[in-house]
Amino acid sequence: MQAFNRLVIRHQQAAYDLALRMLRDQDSAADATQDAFISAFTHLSQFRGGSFKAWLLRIVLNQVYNRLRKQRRQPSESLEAMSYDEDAPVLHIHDTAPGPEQVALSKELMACIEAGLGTLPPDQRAAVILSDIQGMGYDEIASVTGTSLGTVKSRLSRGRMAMRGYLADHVELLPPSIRHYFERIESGKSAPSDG
Amino acid sequence: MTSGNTRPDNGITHEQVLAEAASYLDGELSREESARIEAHLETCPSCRQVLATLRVTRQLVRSMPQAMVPRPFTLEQAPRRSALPALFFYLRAATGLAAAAFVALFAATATLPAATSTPGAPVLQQPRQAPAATGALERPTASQPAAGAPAATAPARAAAPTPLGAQAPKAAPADAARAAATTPPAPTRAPAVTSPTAPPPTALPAPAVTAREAEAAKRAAETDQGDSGVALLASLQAAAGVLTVSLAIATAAVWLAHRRRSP
Repeated sequence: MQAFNRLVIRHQQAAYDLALRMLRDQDSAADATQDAFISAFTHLSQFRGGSFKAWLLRIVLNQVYNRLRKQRRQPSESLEAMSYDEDAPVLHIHDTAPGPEQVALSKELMACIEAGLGTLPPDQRAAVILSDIQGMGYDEIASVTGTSLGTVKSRLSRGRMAMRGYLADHVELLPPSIRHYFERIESGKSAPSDG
Repeated sequence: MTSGNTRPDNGITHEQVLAEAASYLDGELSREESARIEAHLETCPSCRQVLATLRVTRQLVRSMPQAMVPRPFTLEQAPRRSALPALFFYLRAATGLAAAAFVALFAATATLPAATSTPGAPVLQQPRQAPAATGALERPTASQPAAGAPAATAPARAAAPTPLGAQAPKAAPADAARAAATTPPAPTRAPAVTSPTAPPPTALPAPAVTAREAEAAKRAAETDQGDSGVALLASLQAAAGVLTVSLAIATAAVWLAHRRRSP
């Protein structure tokens, strides 16, 4: 039990973050995360080695999809509602993107990005979250989603293109340093040679 | 701007570039594939612009902070392994047993009346009436409200052909035990009240009536027991049927719950 709880502490943030961004509701995400950990403990004998995080997130994703199916059968409040409002608990910012410097995100921009993620179909949303927020490689994403590499590439490509279009529609929220990239999309003009 | 399907000199289309853009940005392409895309980008401003916006999009999403957990998700105690699989197994077995019991009881109920009842005997109605109906006396109905009277008429009839009291004591042992147990002592005039079709008492010899009535009483007792047995079987059969249906519903509910909780 202690050893398992160490794993829980190590991976609970990733698990909860995935559930939250997919379900877009804090209570549902907490329930899904807890159920996923209980299920993981109960079925620990089925873990055959490899990435425990990938195995765990697959269980989380299954819990998420179960709840999304139920929500589709009983649509209630908008799935666009997210936790990034002024009264929400403070988000602890992690450096999730190694390499290039991070862009400082305003609350409005974060809300815009979350809203953009919410417009994606669940499979594309999961691919983008696992790749760009969880920092997983394609093999791990394929393991988590139970799909092939080609499917991962396809979903990620379509998901990012959709996000790109969504941000282009809300270019006013983008930092000035990057706004011009998307303004060129808006104008519909081909970009001058960047040389 | 070239159309999406035309091939620049490096042999890759715009659509192929856009389809591979995400993999290219993530470094998931082979060296050769990356080189082809870079060669295309050098000559295609529109694709370069798309790549640039995709790169920025990816960076923005990657800049999103992970949400803090609202509470620890550690397990305080080992969760009880779901009892659903075992429960499903036992419920299914119990349902099968209940169904088998129901079928067996149904078969027994269907065959038992033929084995225990005598022709013409109203086996399920008034057992007390049986002797009067099955004995030498043609007593037609078993539904006389004065239940004691027909039973009591046997000893009375037995006494009828003879002087009062002379033969009755002999017939009484065969019948009175039953009659006394269930009915008050019968008046000697009972035959006139309840047996319209009974032959005149004077027509029956006393010893034959006694033997016949003893035999009828014995058969009546057996039928009594048979009737009671059939009723009991019918009750058990009904109970088994209800139990089978209840267990089947419970089994289905547990199965559905187990399916939902699978990881």
